Amino acid sequence: MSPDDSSVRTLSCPACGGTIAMRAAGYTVTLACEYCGTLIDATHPDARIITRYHEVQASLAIPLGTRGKLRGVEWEAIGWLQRTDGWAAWDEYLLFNPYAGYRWLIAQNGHWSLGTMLTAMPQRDGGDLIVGRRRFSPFYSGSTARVTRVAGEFYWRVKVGEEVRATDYVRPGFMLSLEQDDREKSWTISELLTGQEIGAAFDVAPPPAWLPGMTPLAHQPSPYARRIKGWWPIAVLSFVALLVLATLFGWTAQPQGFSLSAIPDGPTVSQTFGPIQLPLGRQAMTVEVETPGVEQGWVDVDVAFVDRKTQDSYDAYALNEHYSGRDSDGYWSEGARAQTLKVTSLPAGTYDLVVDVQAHHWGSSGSFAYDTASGTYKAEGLPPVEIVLTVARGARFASNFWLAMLMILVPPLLMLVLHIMFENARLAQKDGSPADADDWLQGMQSP
Amino acid sequence: MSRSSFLYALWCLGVLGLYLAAASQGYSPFADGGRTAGAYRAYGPTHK
Repeated sequence: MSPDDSSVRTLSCPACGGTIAMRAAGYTVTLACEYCGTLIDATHPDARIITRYHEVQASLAIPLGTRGKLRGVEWEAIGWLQRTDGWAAWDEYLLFNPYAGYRWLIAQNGHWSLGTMLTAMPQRDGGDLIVGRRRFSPFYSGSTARVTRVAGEFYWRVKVGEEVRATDYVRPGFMLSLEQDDREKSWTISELLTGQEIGAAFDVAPPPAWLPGMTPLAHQPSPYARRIKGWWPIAVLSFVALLVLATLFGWTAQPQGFSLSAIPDGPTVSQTFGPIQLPLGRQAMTVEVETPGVEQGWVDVDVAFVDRKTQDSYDAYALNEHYSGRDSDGYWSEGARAQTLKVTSLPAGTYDLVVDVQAHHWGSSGSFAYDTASGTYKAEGLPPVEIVLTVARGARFASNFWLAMLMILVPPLLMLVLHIMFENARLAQKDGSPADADDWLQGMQSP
Repeated sequence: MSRSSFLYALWCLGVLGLYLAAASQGYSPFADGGRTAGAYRAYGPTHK
């Protein structure tokens, strides 16, 4: 049986004489005077006073009597109570519709959840509970929720100080709560509402966005998990596109070979090769510098592409060196006899390749003579070192590829870091066993 | 597609566009050409 609108009746507050509307007459057993806050026993013929409040009337986000349409049903806020478990405090608004019954609107930290009382026990599966197709994991256990303030109408005798033992199970977006006292157990499933949904229904402020350092609700879904799941296919597609571009670009063509030689510790050898024609717009050049004969020494190779028309110079430098020896561990060697230089963005034109080479000797092998010009001893009689240059149009820049990869991955990685911070803050509130892999995986689920 | 996914897709398109522009111009911020001025040159083996 459900009451109709004619069941709304009024009564006078026995404390202040104010006229109070009772909106769910027939169900309401206690209601609070909206003028003086006195809690009244509505079942008593003379509306007996239960508790007299001297606090200032609460400033409610949803004033009692406000109606709002939520999930297709028009609800009226008829009761409000504030509870705390010693750590956190939250508001619970009792919503009423003559045809749909009661719902709870629970507000905590600016977030709103719609609570529906269950008429059947959840199914148990290990430590988890299942309602419908939703699996809930244990989160809070053994807490005591105590009523601290109350106003409006309720379907049981509410009084300040009333306590229930509460156990909560969560999944992203939902909380399953068991409240029990010595007389009864009640199960409520509450669903987190979007700011748009609750704002459209009751014109309340949207919930605050989570920032590092804030404590999320136990059942608040990570806003970053949704982004990560939405972004990774885009990242994969971008990676494939990048591979295709890296394959299409970066070929080298029309290699030209040049060679010269330099005597170790001898004078700098300068030589000009060319012409090198670059017919297209801007392009890179690759220069492979090989010194197959260098041993116990190094070769400085400066290359410069000089535009014959503008005399603009595009320079690069290679250091080829090779050393070897024998010690207590046996033979050792180090250095590289070949280097690859990549010179960027040469405009179209005709170029000369100007090469400056200086070879050096390291160590005590060979014969030495004092060089008065430099004031040092220099090796004599060593064979000249041959320098072979291969110049080709185009270049493949692996650094560009990795830089693009990094730029593609930075936003999802940032979201992943924020998601981990969010889940750390959420799971830090968990009672009982510490958060495990299942809890973390559950955090990635969609509501 | 959500707004955040759309924005991320735009970001990726921008990155690919930059890569394409750099590849077509033969440009890299880490190329050898032009990096020699003032570069420290160390000679000799480091073997001990």
